[in-house]
Amino acid sequence: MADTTPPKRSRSSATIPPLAPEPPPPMSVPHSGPIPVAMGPDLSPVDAPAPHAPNLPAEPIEGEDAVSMTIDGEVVVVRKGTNVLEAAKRLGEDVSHFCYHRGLSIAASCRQCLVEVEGMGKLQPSCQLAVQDDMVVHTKNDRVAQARQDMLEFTLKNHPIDCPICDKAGECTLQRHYMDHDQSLTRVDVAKIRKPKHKDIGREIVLDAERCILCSRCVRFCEELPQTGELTMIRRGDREILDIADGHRLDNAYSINVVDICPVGALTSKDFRFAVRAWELRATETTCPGCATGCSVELHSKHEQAYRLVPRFDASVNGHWMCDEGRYTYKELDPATRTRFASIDGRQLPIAQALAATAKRLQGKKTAAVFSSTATNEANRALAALADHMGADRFVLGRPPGKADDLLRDADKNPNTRGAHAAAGEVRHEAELSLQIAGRAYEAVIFLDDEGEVSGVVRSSLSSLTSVILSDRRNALSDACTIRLPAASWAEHVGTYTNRQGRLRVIRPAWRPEDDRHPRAELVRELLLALGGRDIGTAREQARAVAEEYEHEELLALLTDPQPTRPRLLRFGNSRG
Amino acid sequence: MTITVKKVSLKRTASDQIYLPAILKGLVTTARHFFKNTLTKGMGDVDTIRYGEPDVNVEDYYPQRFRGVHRLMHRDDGSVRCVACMCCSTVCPARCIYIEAEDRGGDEEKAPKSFVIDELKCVVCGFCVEACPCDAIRMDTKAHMHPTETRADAVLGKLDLMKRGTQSVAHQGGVGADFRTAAPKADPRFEHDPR
Amino acid sequence: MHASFFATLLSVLRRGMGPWSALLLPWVLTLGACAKDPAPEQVSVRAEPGSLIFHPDTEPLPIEVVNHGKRPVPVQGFQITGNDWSSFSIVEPINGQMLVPGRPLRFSVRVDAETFRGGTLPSAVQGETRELGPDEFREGEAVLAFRVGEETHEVPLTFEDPSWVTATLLPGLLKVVLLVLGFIMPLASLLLWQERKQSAMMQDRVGPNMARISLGGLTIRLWGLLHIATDGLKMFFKEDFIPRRAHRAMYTLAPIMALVPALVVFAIVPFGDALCYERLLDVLAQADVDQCAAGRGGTPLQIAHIDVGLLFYFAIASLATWGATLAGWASYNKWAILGALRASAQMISYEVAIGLTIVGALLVYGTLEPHALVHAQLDSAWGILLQPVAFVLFFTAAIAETKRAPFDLPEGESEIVGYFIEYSGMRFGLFFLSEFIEIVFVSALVTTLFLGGWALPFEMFGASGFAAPWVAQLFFTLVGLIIGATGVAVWRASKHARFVGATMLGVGVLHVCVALFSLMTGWGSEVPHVVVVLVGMLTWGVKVFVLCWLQLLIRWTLPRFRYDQLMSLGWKGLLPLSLANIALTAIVIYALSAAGTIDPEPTDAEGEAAAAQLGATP
Repeated sequence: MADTTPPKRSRSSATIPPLAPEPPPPMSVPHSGPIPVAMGPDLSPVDAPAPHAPNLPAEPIEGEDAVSMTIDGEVVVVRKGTNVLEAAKRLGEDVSHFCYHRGLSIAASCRQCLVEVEGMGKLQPSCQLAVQDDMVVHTKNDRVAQARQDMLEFTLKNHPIDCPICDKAGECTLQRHYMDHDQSLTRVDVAKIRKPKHKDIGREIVLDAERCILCSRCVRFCEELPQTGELTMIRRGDREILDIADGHRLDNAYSINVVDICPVGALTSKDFRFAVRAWELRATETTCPGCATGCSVELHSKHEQAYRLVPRFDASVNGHWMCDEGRYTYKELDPATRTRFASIDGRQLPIAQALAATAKRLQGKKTAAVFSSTATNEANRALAALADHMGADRFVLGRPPGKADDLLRDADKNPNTRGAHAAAGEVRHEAELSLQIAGRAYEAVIFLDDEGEVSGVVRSSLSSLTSVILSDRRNALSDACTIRLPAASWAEHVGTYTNRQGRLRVIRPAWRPEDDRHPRAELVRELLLALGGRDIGTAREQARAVAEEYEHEELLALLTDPQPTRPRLLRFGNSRG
Repeated sequence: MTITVKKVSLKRTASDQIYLPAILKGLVTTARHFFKNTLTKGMGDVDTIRYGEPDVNVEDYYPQRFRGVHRLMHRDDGSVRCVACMCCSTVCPARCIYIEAEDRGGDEEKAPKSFVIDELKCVVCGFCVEACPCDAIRMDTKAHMHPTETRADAVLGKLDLMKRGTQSVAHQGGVGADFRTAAPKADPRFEHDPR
Repeated sequence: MHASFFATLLSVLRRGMGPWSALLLPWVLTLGACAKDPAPEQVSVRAEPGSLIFHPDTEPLPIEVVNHGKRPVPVQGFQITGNDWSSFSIVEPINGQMLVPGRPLRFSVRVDAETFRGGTLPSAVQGETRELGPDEFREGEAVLAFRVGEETHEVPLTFEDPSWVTATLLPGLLKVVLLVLGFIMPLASLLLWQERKQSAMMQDRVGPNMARISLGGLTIRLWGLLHIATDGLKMFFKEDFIPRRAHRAMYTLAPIMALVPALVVFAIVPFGDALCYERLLDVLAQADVDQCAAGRGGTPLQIAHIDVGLLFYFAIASLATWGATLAGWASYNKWAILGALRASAQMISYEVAIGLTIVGALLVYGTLEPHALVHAQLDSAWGILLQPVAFVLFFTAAIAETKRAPFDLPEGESEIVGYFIEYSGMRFGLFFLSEFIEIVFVSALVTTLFLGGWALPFEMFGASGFAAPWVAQLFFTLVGLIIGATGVAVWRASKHARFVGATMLGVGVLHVCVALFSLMTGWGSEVPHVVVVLVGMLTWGVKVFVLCWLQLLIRWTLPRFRYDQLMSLGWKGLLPLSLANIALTAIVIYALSAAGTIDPEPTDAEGEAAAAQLGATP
């Protein structure tokens, strides 16, 4: 049986040394002296394996571990120890199931995945049944179909069927199985069991116990991944409900994952509750920009507005999961705060004029180039070229560190610290930037991104010098700068991050950047050209260079033919969970 | 059963080729209509409904299933029946329905915060009524959308739509939902086909 | 005869009108009892024309003495009296000859115009006189008298020298007013509405019916007839749009170029025989009318009496192509110019067929002058009988010439962008109007060429009235019944139309009353000239209107041709057929004249035969 306890991972928790609090700015220090070059953070790759997934998809195999069996008349060869459900999936037979999940231990409680095995009298749950040599399995015959239909009828007996108000409708596993395997009218004429509805069980989660089909995925998740074990099943029979332990709440850092794995709408996220119907959303495969882990996620959006992030399986980074904190990074994409047009000294300008004016102002000035560990590799490399051309001093700015744990969260809340430092090369310490700006050491400063904390003193100083910011949204820093260029956010262009493992993470556009917004790499390139620098290529060409450098086949294919990776309507994407 | 084959000659005869007999036949047909409609009482075969004539009430002519301006039905307590399931806005081919959901409170949970129909965009197909699982939206007002001074006036909000609506006699959530509180015998009339 | 006539009439009525006929029964019986067979007079001698008018360049004028009675009588005592008796003289006198019914005696009167030269005339100033110029003549008059039995007949002889104003301008204006303002424009406007209403009726729709006038509670709708006015108002008040890159002058000229030829060609169309404006209330003979038609004492009811009238028509009608072509070119619109190309190609193609079909009629009747053409038809038979193929060909080609369905490829209303796509307001209105004027013209031309112009069929109505009283009775009865029945139907059709229906019924009853009046008095064969002229014009108008209706019927019945079909019909269908028609006509005429069946120069063969029968000698 699968190992239910995740292996203890060992990794240095001090990958990035905690930054010293900002020292008091030595205002008296003149700029004349050499500025000491601070050592950058330790950027050696971190060995951070993904959370353990006990049930991996079956892979073709040869050798002594191979087991040969027959499913629906076809011979399939899989690794010893694989369960029959995965083996059938290899043949394209999607055995219906509720409680089985690849990332969790096996409970075999829903009985939906029953298959007939020759030689065994009773139908067997295929998720729990390991493959054996010469096993003959039927997943589609009448007996199995009847069993599935009967099980669905049982499951639906107390289900309230309130799909119109259920947030899961459209991506609900129960709906899908009903349409695939049942499609019969109810025969029940007794009252349904009433259970608690819309019960607030945690910071992020609302429970509707009536909709729950008691698959116990969420219980197993809380026990196995965050290992907090808040959820449990209480009572018995058709009175059995999912509940939290007395005095506890479902408040762990990964709680929203239970919404994703819930096959019905029993557990819903407060953030997504009633916001939009699932079938209206389009899914874009991208990367979470919330921390240095760089989890693979899907961005769900509608009409150029993001509604949620959900994890996407990535065996090497995040497995099936992601943290609650990372899910809220989509709030950065709020259309209300987007920077849409360039502005210089508070005056709105067309982007071409703004770039020309910016280049004119930057010409010949002593400049600080502030790289950003939240911007993409391409943008940072482009800024490096600009800094080379202008002879600018280099800094790297990013979000302040936050909480970390052993599972997925990293203390470094920037997605591209490694990439930014690699592009910038030798940089001065972040703390020095405030000092120098407040001390009027530079005539101009270029911020690559608007993330990062700077003090009020610095912000007020920015207004008196040529401060250029490539901003995708309005915040304190971007408002303080005199020149604001509209940059595309991470949901609007193709780009790459380098995560803590040194892996290349790809972000993809969920929609086109509207108005005057352009990728940062494009804007920096235009500035560089206007200043008489060399042509470093468009953002796409730069991304291609990065992809070739990392030999990243997926990104290369994406840049060659973006068609298959366009946002896909969830209405046709079938259910998740 | 025997199948008889009637052979039809496709060859053009002389009378076909000089057109005149066929033309005369056509002229006689149209002239017959002309004289019949002109000279007989009640304009002969003319079935036109004289819309806009002072003594003509078009509603008398409309069939039961005529689709007019939308309306939103009420619950027993006067609140809107709609649960903001977005089925109508999803199925709408003209994309003229815009719904924002909110928490209603209570077990019904969901209600529309705003329910907007742009009657100028509406193609009056009635799909929204078909799609509605709650008998919340109807088009049985037998009223045309009246001309408006501005385009914005033709965009009806939740209150406009509810003003036209009345209390619905249908059971909220259908018969199935009733099983949660009571246990009546299965209603043989309930032949809702989920497909 | 009368009893059987009434019996037949009654049975027809009973069958056609059912219980309504019961109401007519007492009328019919009473009138049948009152009816008397008018006894024909034994002697009825007239001089035809009844008055001779000479102009300075007039040749000796022929005059006939005709006996309309049943008994031969001698005529004698021919003499000329009066003021200027010496200036007139009789050529070939026929004094003392026997006048046989059906065989008129013919002689001529000559005038010596030189005797009227010089002298004085009353001046414009009251009470003064002035000397005549070298080319002016004074007026003169005399009387030609002869005796028939005890009765003395007098024929006034007048010499006059009309000025250009009285001889040409005033009659011309009168006819232009009568024809253009009194007929064409109203009818063309009516067609604007009729087209929509008729098509609606043919297609089981209601059509335009909403325009109305409310006068103090009385609402006048008339089936939406007022849409004519509303359409006109609409066109006047719409934006007068000219595309920016259009050729402004040509763009403005084009609708005029379309409208003017359509109106000008009406100059050759005779809408009546002739009007003798000095003898409106007299009963005139054909000879009087002919004299008026020659411009002496009257005017032909035809704006321009041109010897080669039909050639004039071709010349002017070709100009209408300019309107279409110019409109397309000047609009600066590629679709417009394509439409113009289609229009000009189509019009030119079909003009060939039109010209060749008319040649057949020319061969038969021997003239290109429309007025003479109508007379030639009255003397022999209508063109539709003698030239049926030419009638069909001409009508087809003429419809194509008007650019309407099934030949509406130059501009197909909702489907085909045409040459006046850029036009709006009244400029578009002019195109529209000229299209309908062309419809009227086609009808008028077909009436003139093939349907005997202003004449009623079967020679039932001549210059002096009906051929016989019973013809008048039959005619008025039938017309009255038709109008009355239509009025009843209209009354029943809609309550808004009751006024019109009642009016029509009243007119119908009036006709029947006239028939009864004729039945009782024998009236009918002697009708005042003004009534004859009015009946002629009305007959012509009804024929034209019916043909317009027929054209609308065709336009809303037949589907549109494809352009290649249009061209092949024109060049491979109508053109060879019209050529064949010419050849056939020529062969038949040659064969008949060779066989002596017809005489190229017709004489009064019937009169000769009648005289021979009576055994009288001239």
